[in-house]
Amino acid sequence: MTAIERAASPSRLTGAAALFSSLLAMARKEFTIMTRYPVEFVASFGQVFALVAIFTLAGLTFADASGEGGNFGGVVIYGFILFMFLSDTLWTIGYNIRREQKQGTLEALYLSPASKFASLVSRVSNNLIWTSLLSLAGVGLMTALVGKLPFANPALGLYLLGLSLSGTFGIGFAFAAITLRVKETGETLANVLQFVLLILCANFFPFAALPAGLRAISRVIPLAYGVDAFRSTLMGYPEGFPELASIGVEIVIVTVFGLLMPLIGYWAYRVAEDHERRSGGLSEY
Amino acid sequence: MDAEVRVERLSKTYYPKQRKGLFKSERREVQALREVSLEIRRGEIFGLLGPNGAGKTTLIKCLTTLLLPTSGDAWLHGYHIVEQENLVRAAVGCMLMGERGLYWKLTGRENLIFFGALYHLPPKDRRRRAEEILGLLHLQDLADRTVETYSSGQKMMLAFGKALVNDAPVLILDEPTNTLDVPSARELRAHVRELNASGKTVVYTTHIMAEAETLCERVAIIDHGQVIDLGTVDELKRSLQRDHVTHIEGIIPERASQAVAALPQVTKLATSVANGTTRLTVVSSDGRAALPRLIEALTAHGALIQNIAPEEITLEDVFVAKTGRSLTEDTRVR
Repeated sequence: MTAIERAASPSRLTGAAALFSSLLAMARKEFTIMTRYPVEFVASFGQVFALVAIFTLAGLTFADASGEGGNFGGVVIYGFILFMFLSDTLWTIGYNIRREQKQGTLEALYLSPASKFASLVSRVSNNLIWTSLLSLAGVGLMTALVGKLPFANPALGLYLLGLSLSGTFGIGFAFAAITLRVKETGETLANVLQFVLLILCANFFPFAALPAGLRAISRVIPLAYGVDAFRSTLMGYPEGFPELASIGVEIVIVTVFGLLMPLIGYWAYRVAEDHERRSGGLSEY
Repeated sequence: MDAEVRVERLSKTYYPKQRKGLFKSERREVQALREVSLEIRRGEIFGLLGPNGAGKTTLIKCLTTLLLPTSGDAWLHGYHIVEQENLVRAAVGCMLMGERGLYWKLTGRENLIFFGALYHLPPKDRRRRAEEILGLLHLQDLADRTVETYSSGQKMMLAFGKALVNDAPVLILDEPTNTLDVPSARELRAHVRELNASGKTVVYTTHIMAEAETLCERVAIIDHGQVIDLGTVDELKRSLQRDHVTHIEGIIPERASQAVAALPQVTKLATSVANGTTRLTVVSSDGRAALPRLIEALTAHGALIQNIAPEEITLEDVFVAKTGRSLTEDTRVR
């Protein structure tokens, strides 16, 4: 039996090894394509500094006027870090699927026995590494602007970041499902939702800054608890934080969100994929 | 001989939306495949012939698991296309969508290695396989250039190479010589013959009759989602032996074509127009004896005949006789 025949044997087509091999190959492919756009690389790095600077300088102006600038740096930078991770995960999968659909390579992937789950996850794996680097750069900039940042409970902070990310992966899968169905409209939808979520999850300001009506909506969005719990934990729970619920309740919400949402999102994606294979929409562009 | 592909009463119905106004749309029913049944034998080159929109690509997409059939069953290399879809994918090498199935920002080599990884080839084997394919298709000089810099023909050759990555027992090639120049098309057909000689089953779709005639052992003629006829090229030609085919070219008004079609000896008539010249393919029942009547009917209705050629039966003639239409007609439902 040749290596190629062995690779096509039923036992090699499923399981963790097949999943990992597909994930690695797809992540490597995404990385190679990313390196073919060097200007985009540099621009995205510069963009982080610009964004952090805008929010920080505007915020510091108002904080100084009210005399409440103590935790401002932490609120902005930790909210910003989470925003970048979430933004990557939430929309990149759908955008990327749509891009491949337009290119024609999505069908090429579906012709192979590669794992569909790996195909989805691989679309953000490189971005997550890149975002980690950008986050460190953002922390550096913020420290330079407002002085040393609070950094408490790193282990719990990491746990909350991981589960919030896991949950957003689920929303990302679901968004990819929507994109498969509605095509171009998905991108418009993402653009709108991105700003709505940015406000409702209060990434760049405390929830206290939201009007009561909007804060009530925030309370039904699990992602908002992720933002609140993550930054409150890293800031060492200063007075008034967390803002939406007690930290115990927030940890439970974030945990359930992080465990359930990927399953729901992936199920939604498979349902959409099934629909497209019935309707012939997989190749539409 | 064993069946490598078996299709039983396979149907596929689409319900595309049709815009009826700014906010209104309605769904129509389009039957792309109607109870198609056929068997493709292990080790043969099997041609699927039909005009654009006949259902060839839909059949291929069902066989390669890209589409779920509405009803019916099919097996490829012994695996059911719906219940064992991953095994089907591993057993088939497919060239579909031509150059659109490649990553243009990757090099030729990177593309082949990437697709090798998707078939779970170990890293060493996927690199070795990529080198083999690049060598076979004489693409070594282009291997480290990104695909976006390739010519259309070079992209098609690489897309063909991608179909060989997993060295599958079944090769499905959907109009692989589209956009290839004559020498490249000939080279690709030579590779197909070699691969077939090494034991691979090849399913080959085309709307170029001469290609099917020279390459395929058996051919299925598909039209409007149905298999109109199936057999070896010789069998299909023999089925028309009692008929006689005449090609007539010239400036032929519609009323002259109608007059020919109305002749009792004429059993089928297909018309196509290219560069201002009308070409009639006339299938008649009493051979050359009908020629004087054909000429008389045409000239009496204002036709200016430039060329008239009674011919040997070709696959194109078989197609015309079976469907009443020329292969160049587009039958897609719009």
